[in-house]
Order: sequence, then structure tokens, then C-alpha cells
Amino acid sequence: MPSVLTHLFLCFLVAAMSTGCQKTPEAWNSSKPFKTQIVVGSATGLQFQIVELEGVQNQKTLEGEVVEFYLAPGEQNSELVGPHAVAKFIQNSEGVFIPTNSLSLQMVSLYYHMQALKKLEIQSLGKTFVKWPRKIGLQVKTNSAETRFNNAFYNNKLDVMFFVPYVDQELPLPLNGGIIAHEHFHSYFSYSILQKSLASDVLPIEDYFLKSINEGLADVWGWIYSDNPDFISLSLPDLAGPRKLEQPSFFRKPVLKTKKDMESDLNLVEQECKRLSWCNSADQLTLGLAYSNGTALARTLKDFLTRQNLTQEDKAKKIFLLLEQLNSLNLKKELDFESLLVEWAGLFDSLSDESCKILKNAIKTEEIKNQICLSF
Amino acid sequence: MSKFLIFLILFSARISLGAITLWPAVYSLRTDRDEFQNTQFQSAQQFSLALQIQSWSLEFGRTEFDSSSEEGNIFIKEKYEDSILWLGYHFKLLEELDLVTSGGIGTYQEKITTTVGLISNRSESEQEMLTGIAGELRWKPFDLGFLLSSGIRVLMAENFDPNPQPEFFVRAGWMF
Ligand SMILES: [Zn+2]
Repeated sequence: MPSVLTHLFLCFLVAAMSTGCQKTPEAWNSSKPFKTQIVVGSATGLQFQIVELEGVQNQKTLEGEVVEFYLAPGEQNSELVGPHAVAKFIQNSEGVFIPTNSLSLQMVSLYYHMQALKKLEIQSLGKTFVKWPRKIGLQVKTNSAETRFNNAFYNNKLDVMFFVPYVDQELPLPLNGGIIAHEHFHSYFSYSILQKSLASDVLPIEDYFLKSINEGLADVWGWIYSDNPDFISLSLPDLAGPRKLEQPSFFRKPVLKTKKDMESDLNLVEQECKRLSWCNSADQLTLGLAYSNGTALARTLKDFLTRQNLTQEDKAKKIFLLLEQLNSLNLKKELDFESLLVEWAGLFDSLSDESCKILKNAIKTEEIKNQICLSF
Repeated sequence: MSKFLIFLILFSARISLGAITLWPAVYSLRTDRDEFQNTQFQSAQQFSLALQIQSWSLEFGRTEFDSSSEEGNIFIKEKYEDSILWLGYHFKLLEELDLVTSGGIGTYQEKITTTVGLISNRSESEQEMLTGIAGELRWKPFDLGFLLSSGIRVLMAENFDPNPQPEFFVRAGWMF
């Protein structure tokens, strides 16, 4: 009798082999690109895309040349601590790794966008000036009520990009290429400006000025990368009005603040903070203003760059030049968006009439206005 | 899959000495890990059919379970299915109580449906090989044909996480 059973068992084995083990996709190893499926969002909507991740060393943690993922990490003695995030996939018959849960989909999407951002940096600069692989924390827990959900931020002390849980019903932030580019830009700003002497012992007004530029340029970077001036509203539709990089209407001029405007902002904020019981420091209130200054700057830059008809790579180059220019700035003497913009516009070989119009619209100080586009 | 069933039915017809057991009511818990690496229990739907000849048995089992994960407008549904053939040996412990130890071999497949906003996409893995070992206590009260059993299985496959993967089950069946 056992021989009959052995026969039966062997038959099953053959059947299992013939139905199950045929056409197995090629096994992946770290010398090959990691083929996976992500979701990309654009102005026209969302779509699935098969992409190749390069330099992946580990199929579970996706550790590699581009990103190092941490799950709900914390900070201890100025160091990032926490376990690596672990992804799970199935491999389809074409050898594509399909994420089997939302965290895994976020990891591959982030890896893909960071890889593309690294390429953009190298193409436009010929080198990279931030440290790779970039560290990214997912599902991060924060104590602050304002940033607990639906937020992403860059911590320049730890040099880490953080994503907190997303509880809205739109595209989670780790899948939004524009938002990833925005946060990644903060690392450029940190490496080239904040870590330099320029940012040491800064006065509140200088800090306010730098924060505004940092947020504004980060939004421009998000637009340059995603080619979508409204990338924020794919995930955070409530911010579409205040943050969208389209001018609300042509007759409403973007107002770039002068040094005087910024000083009066800070005075107001100081008084307001004294009045509010929950306000511990005026800094809490200046960030909101920095975003709105940043948006005004970003809208002007975006319009200007669009009218100059540049490729993505050339736009990126100009933003890196702006960072360089900012780095050589003496904050004690020159501290206004208008002069910065005029100086930066001077780096272009030629300015179209349209771009001149945009600059003139954005600048209200007559002397500065008169310095630009003399032929216009 | 149907190939195996037809095979079993034809084969059982040839063996007049054998007894067929049907296990329609199974409560099974599989353990695996969620996205945060915490152990989670998956309650699975299971059905099996066995042929017993003296102390040997050959059992075909089919298991399915679903799990899902979401954040924002992402919704990912995972469907797991396996078919396993178990070869078991029955040790008589008491008049009405058997200990069954088995070794199994089979295939499994995972199907993923990813929905993001209004778009959706379906993918499936190939059938992948799986093996297992199992230990089970089986109670046959009063020789009525009715069976109750409980046990543990340990399943192994290259891409399981964790690997091996334990499963606990309690089931009721009928022996013809
Ligand atoms: Zn920012």
C-alpha cells in the first residue's frame, strides 16, 4: 500500500511542478535594476507606472545607493534611531515587484523620485553636493499637534526627511513627487546656506528672510521636478489657494516684501504673540508668514522661468546659481527679495519682454525697478 | 487545481479499502507580519478532503485569506491562496484518539489589487512551491463518522515572511 501512496505523492509532485513552477520570472539580485510598479500623480491625474530602481542592495529594506528608510524613527543624542522599514512584494510573471501594502508602495515611489532628483542634480551641476543615500523616516510620530498628521518636513540637524502618517483621503505625501522634491530641496538649502557661516548668529529678521526663501525655492523646485504648479493640492487640496504657483489673477500683483515690510511683520508678530496665551515664541508665528513670502517669490520665479523657455535641467541650473548667489550675500547689508531677484535675473543671457514684465510687476521699490530691463 | 481533485476522486474510487474524510468546517489562524513588522493573525477559509488507508492518509487542502492595507486614497487588497497535499501517518493513542503527523507539499499564489483614487490595477504572483509539516490530535467519538481535531502546521516557502510560518487550526469533519 505505501508504494501506491508514494506513486500518488510523486504524481502530485509532477503536477505541482508542471502547473506551478513553469515560467518562473528571473530571480533578482542586487546587480540588476529592481523593476517595480509605482503610482505617479500629475496635473492630469494619477497613473500606474513600471519603473526601474537602480542600486538597490536589499529587496526587503530597499537599502541602496539612493535611500535608507526608517520606520517611525526617533532622535537620541542628535542621532536618528529606529528600525529600517521593510517592504513586501509579489513578483509577477514579467518579473515586476508589486508592492503588497501601502508602506511598500510609498517606499518604492520615494526611491524612484529620489533617484530622479539625484539624476537632475547631477545633470545640472555635474556633481551632487548632498550625502547619499538620503535618510527618510516614514510614519514618524511627533508631539506637536500641527505636524502630527498630513505633513512632511526636513530636519537639517539630522539631515533626514520625515513623513508623518497621512489621514486625509487624497494622495499620501510620500507618493507626491512635487512634495518629495520640495522636502529634498531643503537639504540643498541646508548644505549650501544653513550649514555655512552665513546662517550663524542670525538676527530674527535674517532668519525670517532665509526661511521665506527656503520655502519659496523649495516650492519652485517641486514645480520644476513635477512640472505641476499645483502639486500640493494632489495631497493637500486645502492649501491649493495659498500655495499654488499660478498667479491668482494678473491684476493681483505678487508682492515681494522689502526689508521695511519684513521689519514691520516681525513687530506685529511680537505683539500678537504677547496677546496669545498659547504663543511661547514669535517664531511660531513667523513660519506662516515665511510661507506666504515664499509663495510670492515662488510665483514670480515660476512665471519668470516659464517665460524664459528653459528645459527642466536649465531651470534647475538657474536655481542652483541662485543658491550660490545667496551664499555670497551679506545679510547685514542686502536683505530683500527685490535686489536678490534683480541680481539673479542678471545671470540670464537675455530676458524676454514677458519676463521683464513679470519682474517689474513683482517689484515695488522704484529705484530697483529702474535697474532692470532698461530696454523694456 | 481541478486536476488534483479529479485525480483524487478517481484514485479513491479504485481503493475500496479506503475511507474518505471531508473537513468542511475549519477554523484556522495563520501568522504573518503587518507593515509595521508586528505579528498578525489571519483567519483563513479552509477546506480539505482526505483519503485514509489503514494508518496512512493522503489529504488535499485548500486555503484562502484576504488582507488589506490603506493610507489616504491608496487601498491595497491581498488575496492569498494555497493548495497542499499532505501525506500523514496515524498513531493510535487511545481508542477514540489519534495523533496524525504529516508532511505536505503544494503551491501558493498571491493576488494584489491596488486602487489609488479612481485607478485600479490587478497583479498576481506565479504559483510558488511550499512545503509543510503538521501535527494533529484527532477525536472520533463513538465511531459515528464524526471527527473533531486540532493541531498546528508549520509552512515553509522561500518568500514567506516570517519563514517558517505557523498555523493553528481546529476543525470538524465527517468520515464516509
Ligand atoms: Zn518646506
